[in-house]
Amino acid sequence: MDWKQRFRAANILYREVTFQAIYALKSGNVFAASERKRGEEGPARAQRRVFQSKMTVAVLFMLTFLASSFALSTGRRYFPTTLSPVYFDGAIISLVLVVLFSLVWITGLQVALPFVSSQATTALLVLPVDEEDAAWISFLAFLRLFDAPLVTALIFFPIAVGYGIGSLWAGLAVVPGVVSTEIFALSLSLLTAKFFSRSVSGASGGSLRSLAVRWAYLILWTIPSLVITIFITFSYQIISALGSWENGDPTLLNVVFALFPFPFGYLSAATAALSGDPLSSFLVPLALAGAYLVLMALSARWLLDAPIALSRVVNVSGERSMNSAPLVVSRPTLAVLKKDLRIASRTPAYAFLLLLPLLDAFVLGLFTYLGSPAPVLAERYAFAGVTVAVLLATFFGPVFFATEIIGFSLTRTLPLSQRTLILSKTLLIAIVYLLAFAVVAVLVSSKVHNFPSFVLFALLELPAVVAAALLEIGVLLERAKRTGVPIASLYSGAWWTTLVVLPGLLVSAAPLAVYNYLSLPYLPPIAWMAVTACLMLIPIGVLVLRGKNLPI
Amino acid sequence: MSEAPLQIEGLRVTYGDVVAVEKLDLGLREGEIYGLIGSNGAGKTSAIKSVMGLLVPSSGKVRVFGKDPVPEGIFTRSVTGYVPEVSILYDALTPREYLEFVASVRGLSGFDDRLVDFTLALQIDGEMDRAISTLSNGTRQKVLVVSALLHQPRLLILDEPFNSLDPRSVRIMRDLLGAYVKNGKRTILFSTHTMEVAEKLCHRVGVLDRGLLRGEGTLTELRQQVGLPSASLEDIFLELTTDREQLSKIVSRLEAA
Repeated sequence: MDWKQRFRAANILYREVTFQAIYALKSGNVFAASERKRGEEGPARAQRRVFQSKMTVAVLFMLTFLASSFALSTGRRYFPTTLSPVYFDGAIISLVLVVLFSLVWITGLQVALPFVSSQATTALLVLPVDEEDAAWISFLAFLRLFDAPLVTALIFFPIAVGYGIGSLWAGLAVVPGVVSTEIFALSLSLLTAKFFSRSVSGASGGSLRSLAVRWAYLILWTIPSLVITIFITFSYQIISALGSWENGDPTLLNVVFALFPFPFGYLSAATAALSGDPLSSFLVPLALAGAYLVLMALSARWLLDAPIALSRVVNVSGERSMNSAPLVVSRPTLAVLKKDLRIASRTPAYAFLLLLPLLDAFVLGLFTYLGSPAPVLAERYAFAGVTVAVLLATFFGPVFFATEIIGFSLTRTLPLSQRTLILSKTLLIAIVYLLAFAVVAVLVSSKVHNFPSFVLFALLELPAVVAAALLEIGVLLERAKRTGVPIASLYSGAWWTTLVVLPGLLVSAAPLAVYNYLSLPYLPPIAWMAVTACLMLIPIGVLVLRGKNLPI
Repeated sequence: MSEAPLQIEGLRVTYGDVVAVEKLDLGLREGEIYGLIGSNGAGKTSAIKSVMGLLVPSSGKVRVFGKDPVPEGIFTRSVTGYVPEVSILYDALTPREYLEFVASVRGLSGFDDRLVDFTLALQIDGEMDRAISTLSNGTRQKVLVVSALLHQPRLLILDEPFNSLDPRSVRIMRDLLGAYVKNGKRTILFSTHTMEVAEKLCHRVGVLDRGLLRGEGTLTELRQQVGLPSASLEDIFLELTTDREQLSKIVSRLEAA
């Protein structure tokens, strides 16, 4: 099979995977009569949506690179550090590579499981295609799912580095670093996807213990995001620490710069200052970079076979058990909530979205706790933590409806009312918000001067969070009923989801804006905040929850 | 007098320009098993989805125990049990978790013995704690059947329920469904293209072809209708839906090829 044929076959596989990611969950579903007509253009629509999502990620990459270019060109003015210029620039480049690594890892992880579950590659196994061709076709199809972000990094990060440092050679020198970062991240994403496929998605057992084990594994899924958040939030502290190590304990600095991807960052920065430094200072980082490139080559070889191998993973876990324990029946609202949590416990992408607000609250709380800022500043950070929890909980609200889409054809055959469904999803969002607040509260309790008013602030914001959730879930349910468009994930339907999320964010942010930016008479700001939150909740609640017995 | 389990009058279902069901009239009596038979794309699933209120028909009237299933969706779903054609389930749940969800939404109690009987009869008792994503199609189908039977609905609607089942399970299912209507209070509507099962199980059969009901009645009535006194249901189906002469020509051509 020649390359043209491989690319053509990979393109067919890619189309199938994108189509399934957007539409396949609908099969057997019940949708408006116009759906079949629209379904004829389904593959093209699916590709358009995935393209939009890829471009969104690519734009996110470009913004990161733009910031890094700015930091490289003017950063030393804003970072009063003792770190020498080459180490400073090397550290900035390396931090961006770490962020890039984490972004590719998490994107790859999100893509890998749907890639496997689409079973598109299994078609290759029954065709007269040899192993090597099948591996290449699967690999190329997998790469196509996030080609735009990968190519963006490969082109724009070297440009950003070259422009920031003011050296074409520095820009070119970072290319091996970008390539190896991408290959390592992709390999890790497939490796971890394999783990999650076996230990989480296909895990058997319905006991509390097995549920707890799955959630413990799912915390691993948040590591890349945690790395990104920590590296961005604590970049100033990291650079400062490196500066103090350079002058006080160079061994520590050398250890850090021996770790991947720091040798690549250092080499790129040092290339710009080539004339000034002795050649010997290049030898160690060069040797280390060479070693990492050898590892990258091995990783690339493994990566080539990984997508097709991953497709062959068969999840037949769990022994036959004769567990005759009776079923535990609960109220319908709680039953939907329990179901969603159970689904999330075996669906890392959903679990991640539940954990993300908690994760960010944790990082901001940690920042307040470790940073030991002055009480007033600590209070601001703590309030910022709650604000982030509010925004993230309402931003990801629609995803909790997406879990319903998976089995919507079945759920719609049950006597479940719209009101019950909306209330249960809203309850989940409120719980996520309250948990995120609890995480912040635990971490900042000793730092915040007026802790009771902080608690009051968080609780008075709750009605607005509930209002935003009701609005988002209500609109999505109406939309799903009318058109049958599955809001399966943010990745596949970013534009439409934004249209739902935006009003939700405005509703949840309104009381915060009143509290922070308006000076209204007669009442203290926190009371105005409570009034605003209730004014949001009452009309939205009445509108969305009208009609007790409307079927979904 | 109690309302008929199902009454359909002049049902028309369209998808854009495609007419899936045309002028369908159908009535089910309490205590009977009614089989809707037809080829792929005959309109069986569209008709069944209209009964469940999952599709809004272009025109015509559907009544489940006297109520319109679209505005009265909650009522319809309370009194019916439904097994869809495609066994899409929440893959990330186990059968036990899924059934727990169904029982909770339906507000059931005192069904444990029934559940044990169903799972034993359908041989899924050992699969209850495995993730649904790891189950075979047949097992998924059985989980769906159990979930539809759990609340002992007055009207059980099954869309191609025998598709993924092995011969042993087909036999067990057949016996199970036969016993289900024994008390005369429950009714079953199911679609199939397996003539043998329909012939052995159904009290009455409707033959659907390209959206139109070509014939309806007991086996005896259908034989009379086509004028073949000893015909099997398969013969009757072919007689009602196929141009036999053209089919013979195609078979001859294939044999000669």
